[in-house]
Amino acid sequence: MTALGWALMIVGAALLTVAALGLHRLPDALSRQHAATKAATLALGLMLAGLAVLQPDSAWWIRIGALVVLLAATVPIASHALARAAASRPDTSKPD
Amino acid sequence: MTLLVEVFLGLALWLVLAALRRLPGTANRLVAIDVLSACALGACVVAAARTGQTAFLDVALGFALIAFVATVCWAHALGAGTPDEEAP
Repeated sequence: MTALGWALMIVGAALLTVAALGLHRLPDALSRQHAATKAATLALGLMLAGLAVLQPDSAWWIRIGALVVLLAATVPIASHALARAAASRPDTSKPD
Repeated sequence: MTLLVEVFLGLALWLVLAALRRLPGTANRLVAIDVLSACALGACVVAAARTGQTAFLDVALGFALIAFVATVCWAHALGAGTPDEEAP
């Protein structure tokens, strides 16, 4: 059970690394936002699921559930606002 | 073996900071800062798992709220356009 929890946390952290790598690999701000916010949401969800497996106690599960609900409610709104901002000002300069 | 979580988090943090230095334009940096706040949330979760204290999850809750409000405010300010384009 402990191994499963840590495995979930490791996969979540690796997915966060992939999201950060997407910032470098993708061409413009809109697609960077597209990669980064979705992958980061799944990464945080996996890490929180691993924490819920590691700590079998209701005091943890309440906080983890609240955090998951908060992230699921706020991250799409934030990513939508980011996408509007990125689409409203197309960047003309290129990365070096 | 469980140290891999910290290794991956550090790698993600380094990549985000490199992107923040390298990428041009305000919108790109805003996206990078959004991933940076996700890294901070992940660090809160790892700290809670390491120490066994639920207080780190309360910190993560507050930080998630603040990061959400900050991202929406900055994105709205960016989308409103530059001040020299239109007078209020």
